[in-house]
Amino acid sequence: MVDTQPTNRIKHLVYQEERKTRFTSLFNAHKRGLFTYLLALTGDFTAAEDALQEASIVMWQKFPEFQEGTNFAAWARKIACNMGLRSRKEASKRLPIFSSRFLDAIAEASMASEEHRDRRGKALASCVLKLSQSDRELLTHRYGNEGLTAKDVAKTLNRPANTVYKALRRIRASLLECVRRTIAREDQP
Amino acid sequence: MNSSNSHRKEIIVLAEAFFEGTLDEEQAARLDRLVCEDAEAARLYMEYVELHGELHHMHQNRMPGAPIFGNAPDNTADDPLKQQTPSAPAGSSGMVFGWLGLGAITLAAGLLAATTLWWTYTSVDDKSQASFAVANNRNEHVAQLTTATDCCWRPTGNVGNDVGSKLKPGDRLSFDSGTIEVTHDSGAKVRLVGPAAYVVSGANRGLLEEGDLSASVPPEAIGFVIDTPAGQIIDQGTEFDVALHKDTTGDAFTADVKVTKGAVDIAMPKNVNYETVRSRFKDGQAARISSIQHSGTTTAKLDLKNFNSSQDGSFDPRTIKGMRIWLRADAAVMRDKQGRVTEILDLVGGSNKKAENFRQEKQNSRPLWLDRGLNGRSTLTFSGRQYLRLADRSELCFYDESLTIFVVAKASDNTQYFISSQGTLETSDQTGFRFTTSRDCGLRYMAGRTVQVIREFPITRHNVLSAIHDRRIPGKNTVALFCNGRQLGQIEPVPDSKIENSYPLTIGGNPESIHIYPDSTQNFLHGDLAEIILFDRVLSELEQQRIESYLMTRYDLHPSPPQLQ
Repeated sequence: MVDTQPTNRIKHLVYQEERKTRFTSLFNAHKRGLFTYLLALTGDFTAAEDALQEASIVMWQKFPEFQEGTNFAAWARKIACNMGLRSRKEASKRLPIFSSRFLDAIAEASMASEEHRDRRGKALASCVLKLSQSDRELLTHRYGNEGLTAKDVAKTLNRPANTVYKALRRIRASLLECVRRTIAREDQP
Repeated sequence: MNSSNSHRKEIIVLAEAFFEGTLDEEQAARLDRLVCEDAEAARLYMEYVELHGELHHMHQNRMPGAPIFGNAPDNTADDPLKQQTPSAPAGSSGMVFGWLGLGAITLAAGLLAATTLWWTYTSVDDKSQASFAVANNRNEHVAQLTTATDCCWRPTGNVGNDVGSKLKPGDRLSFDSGTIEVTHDSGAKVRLVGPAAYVVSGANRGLLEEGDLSASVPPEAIGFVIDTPAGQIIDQGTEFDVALHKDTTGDAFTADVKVTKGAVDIAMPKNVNYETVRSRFKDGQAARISSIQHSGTTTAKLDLKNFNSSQDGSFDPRTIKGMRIWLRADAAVMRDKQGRVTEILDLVGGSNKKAENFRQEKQNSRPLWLDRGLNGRSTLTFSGRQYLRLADRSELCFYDESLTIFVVAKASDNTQYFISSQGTLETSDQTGFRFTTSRDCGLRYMAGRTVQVIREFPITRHNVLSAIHDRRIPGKNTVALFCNGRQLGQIEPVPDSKIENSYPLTIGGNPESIHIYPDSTQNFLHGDLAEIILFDRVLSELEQQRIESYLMTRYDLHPSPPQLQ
C-alpha cells in the first residue's frame, strides 16, 4: 500500500506525457489547415493567427473530451470556428457576416484541401520565382508588411490604387494557374 | 455540381475584395451564397485563401509550402528545442506553443503559468521558422555531410569525418581546419572553413557557432535560416557568406554577412524584451550585426554597400593591407535610449582575430551620437569626461610596429586625446602612444618616453588628421603629421621608442586620467570624432592619399590645409 500512491503518480505523469505528445502530434498535423480555415473566415492574417493561438489553448483544455478514432480535423475546426467568430467580433475593422452554412461549407472544403497541401506549397515557391522582378517586388510590398492592403501598397508606391489591385489580381491568378499546372505535370504518369 | 467559368471568376473577384478589405455587404452575401450552393465554389474559394496565406507566410520569412506550420510527426520528449520554448507545466506542449510566438506565449503564460524561456539566439517573431525547426523529430535525419576535405575534427563535435554521414537535429560539426559541406534536406548547402563549429538544427536551419560559412539556397529552400549569436539570417532565395567573430570577453559576437546573389533578411535583437528588427539586404550588399549584452541599447546596422558607393569614391579602405581598426560614427554604433554611445564596432572584420569594439559601460561617460554632426554625416561628440575603450588590451602589439593613424575630428583647445594606448597606470608612464591635440591648439603625436612631435595649427574645425610613425629601421625612426593630406612641417627624426599596450586602447580620453584621477576632466576630448582608421604599418604615399581622399570626399572637407602658424 505504501508504494501505491507514488506508482499512481508516475502512471498519471506518464499518461499526461503521452496525452501531451498525442495532442501535439495531432495539432501540428492539422494546424496549417486550421489556419487556412480561420483565414477564410476572417480574411485577416492577424485575426486568423490570434484565433488559432486561442483555439490551440482551448483545444488542449478540451482534449480529454476528444475521442480517439474520431475526426480531429472536424473537432478542431469547431473550436477554431468559435475562436474565429470571436476574433471577427473583436477585430477593429468591420468584417462581413457569413451564414452557418457558409462556415460548414468552407470547413468541409478546408478539410478536403488537406491532401497535397505540401506539394502545392512547394509548387507555389517555385512559381513565385518565375515571376518578373517587378511582380515579386509588388508581392513583397503587399505581403512583406504585416497588415498592409493593396490600397496601402498603392499609397506607399505612389501609384493608383486600381492599378495595384489589378496587378495583384493578375499575379495571384497566374500563381494559381502555375501551381495547378505544376501539380498536374507532377501527376502525369 | 460544377461552377461555371463566370462563377469561378466571380469567386476570385469576391475573394480578392474580401482580402483587400473592400467586400461590401452585397458582395459578402453573394460570396456566402455561391460557397453554400456549390461545393466547387467552396473549393475554389479555399484554394484562393490558401494561396493568400502561403504568400503571406512566405513574405513574412516563413518557409513556403510544407514547413509553414510543419506537418512532420513530432516527438516532444526528444525535441531539442522544447527547452527553448515556454514550458507548459499544466500539461501543455512546449512545441505547440513554441510556434505561436509572443502573443501565444504571453497568453499561455497567463493561462498555464508557463515559464518564459526564449530562443537562445533567434528572433521571436519568426514563428514558422521555429515551428519548422521544432517539427523535426530529433531522431530523423535532416541533413548530410556531403564533403569533408583535410579536416582536423575537434572532440567537442559529435560528427566524425565520414562523408555521407546522415545528420540529425542537434548534431554538431566542430573542426580546427579544413573544409566541409553540409547539405540540408531542404536542398540548402552550407560550406564551412575551419576553424568552425556548426549545429544542424533542422532540415532548413542551422546554427553557426564559430567560423566562416557560405550558403547556397535553391528556390525550394527559401526561408533557410542561419542562426548566429549575433543575429539571425533568413534566406530569401540566395547565396550568402557569413563570418562570425567573437571578442575576447566572450560576451559579444559580430557577424559579417555578405549577399552574393538574391536577398536575405537579417533579424537582430532590438532591446532586452527580445523584440527584433529585421532588415533586407540584396546581392552586392553586406551587413555587420552584433550581439547586444547591454540593457537598453539599440542595434545599428551597417550597409557595407555604402562604403563602396560613388559618393565615397568607390573605395573600400579595407582593401589597403594592414588596417587594424576602423571606427565610423555612422556605422554599427550602439546607443542607449538617450542617444549616447554604448559601443562602436570595429569594421575591419575578418583580418583581425577578434573584433576591436570600443565600449562605455558607464552612462555618464558615454559620448553623444549626433545624426548629422558633420556635413550631413554622423559624429560622436565628447564633452568632458567621456571616452570609449576596448574591453581588454588590443591584440595589436605596438612594441616595434609602425603606425599610420587617421582621424576625422575637431577639438577645442588644450590637450585632448583622440586615441591613445598605455603601458602601465603609473603617472610617470610614457610608454603608450598618444594622438592628441597640443596645449597650443595644435596636433601632437607621442610614443614611448622619447617621442613627441607637435605641429601648431587651428584645430577647432573638422579635419582629416593623420600621423605616420615609421619604425621600420631601428635608429632611423620618423614621425610625420598631416592635415587634410598636407604635411604639417618637416618629417621629424625621432629616437627609438618603446610602446606598450597593456591597457585598453582608449578613444576620447587618457587612460591615466581615467584610472588615477577620477574627477579630472583634463586630457579628455572636447570635440567631435567622425571616423578613426589605424594601420599597423607605414602606408605608401599613394595609399595614404587614397585614405585621405576617401575621408575628405566622404565628409566634404576642404582640401586645402588650415594655415600653418
